[in-house]
Amino acid sequence: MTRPPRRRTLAGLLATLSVLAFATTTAGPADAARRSLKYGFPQDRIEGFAFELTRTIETEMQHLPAEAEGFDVASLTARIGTVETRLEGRIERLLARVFRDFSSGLVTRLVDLRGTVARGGESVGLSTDVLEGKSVSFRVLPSGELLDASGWDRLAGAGRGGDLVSELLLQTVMRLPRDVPRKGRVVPSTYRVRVPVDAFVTRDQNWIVAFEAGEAPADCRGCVAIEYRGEITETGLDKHPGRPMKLTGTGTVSGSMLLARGSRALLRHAFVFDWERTVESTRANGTLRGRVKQTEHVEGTLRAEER
Amino acid sequence: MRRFAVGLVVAAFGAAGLPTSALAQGMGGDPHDRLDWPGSPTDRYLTSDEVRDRLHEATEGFFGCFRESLRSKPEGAAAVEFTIDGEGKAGSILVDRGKAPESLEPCIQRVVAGIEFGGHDGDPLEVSYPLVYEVDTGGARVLPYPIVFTRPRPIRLPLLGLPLDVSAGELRMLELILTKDAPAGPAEAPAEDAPAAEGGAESGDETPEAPAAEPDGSDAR
Repeated sequence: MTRPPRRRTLAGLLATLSVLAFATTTAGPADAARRSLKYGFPQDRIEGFAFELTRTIETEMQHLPAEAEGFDVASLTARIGTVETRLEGRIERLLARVFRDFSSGLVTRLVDLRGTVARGGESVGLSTDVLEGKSVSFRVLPSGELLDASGWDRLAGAGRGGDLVSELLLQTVMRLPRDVPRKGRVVPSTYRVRVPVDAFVTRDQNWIVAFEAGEAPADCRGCVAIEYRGEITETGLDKHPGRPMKLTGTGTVSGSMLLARGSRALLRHAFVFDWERTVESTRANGTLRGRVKQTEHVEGTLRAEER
Repeated sequence: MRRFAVGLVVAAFGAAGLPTSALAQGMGGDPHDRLDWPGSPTDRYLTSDEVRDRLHEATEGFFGCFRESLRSKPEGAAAVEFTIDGEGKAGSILVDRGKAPESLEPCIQRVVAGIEFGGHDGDPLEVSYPLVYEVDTGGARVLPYPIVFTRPRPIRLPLLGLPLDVSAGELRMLELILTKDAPAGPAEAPAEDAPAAEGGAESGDETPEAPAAEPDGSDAR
């Protein structure tokens, strides 16, 4: 007895679907199966990192609207023209949740902060109260791939310090290459980092990075040392009707990471960013209102504290 | 054969359990998987919804205050304002008792002070909560108000990198230069005359008001 062709096709389709469904549910992320280099996030304790951060930012008002005539722009430019900020303190990190796709929900908090600020001359103390105790949450894969982040809306905005510490916080889980690079070989990688601030503001970065094997210290046998350098392009958009703005930027990044033997916990991370960003504000009719160019140099180090 | 194939599909989906629930959740996935889902261990910031829930749990306490203090007033409204610090404790509790007797104030303050809002990493949260009551033959009743009013700090010029010690005046000047459209007609007056609604703060104000045109209505839930 033979089945009609339509029924045979339907049965074949259903069988294929069932095999596909089974395959998708039993297999983990494809990336995880082939990846040999992953972060270890301790589940039983709060990780501590000491950090130091220096940011030098130069701001140039490239295009001023006619409305600026009534303001003392010269004194404003003198205050924000070139500013060097140093910040040091600790980062506490807690693995708060493991999601069903084996990604980790990390709460990363800034504590014990001290800072100074200099405008060309002597540096003076900086109040860091507004940043103390603030946290962001990351959802990351063991590779460091950032799936989601929250809490930026509590840090973002002028006078709140989010722009000062964003690189530092993101570099606590910088994306890793798939495997430990071999000596003398460069492993290229590209990826995207999206920082959702709130319903109006998003920032997207595209990273093109080359990883190389680094030199692990002699007293850290079995540790993994990785160096990297690359280029980043950034776009940002503020869709808030009261302050429509857009950002375009390019930057370079370089750094070195040291991961612990076995646990693959982050032991040390030093990084340098050089950014050139242009922020344009627009009028209600979409035409240019003001343009600000900012050049930024950021140097930072993260060191895991002794347990 | 057809039944077998259908059975195979059901078995595959059923055994795994995930795809059917994933299909039910839609493209966004399970909302509980959001990092900022209220009460999630990864969410370290208080929302007005969480504050409201804690206040609703204390309705019995409020009810007790009104029952003790009110005998004859038929109905009315009071309000309580307070701040929640990083440890989740209420402080600076102010009671606007309206037409209710004075004895209501310390009782309401005790109830609010006893509420555990939960530790959070945000700035001290300013909260205002209306207490609507009525008195009938059965005594006083407090009606849980569906929303609380909180005052989140506005985000100002989030795409610019600015010094942490930027002063309120400098920030306001930048906002007026970059984001406030000039009115039609004669030249615009400088900062002192400009209304503060669009950009955020008033000139020299250390704790600026939220932008008036906040479309998400996040200050009242």
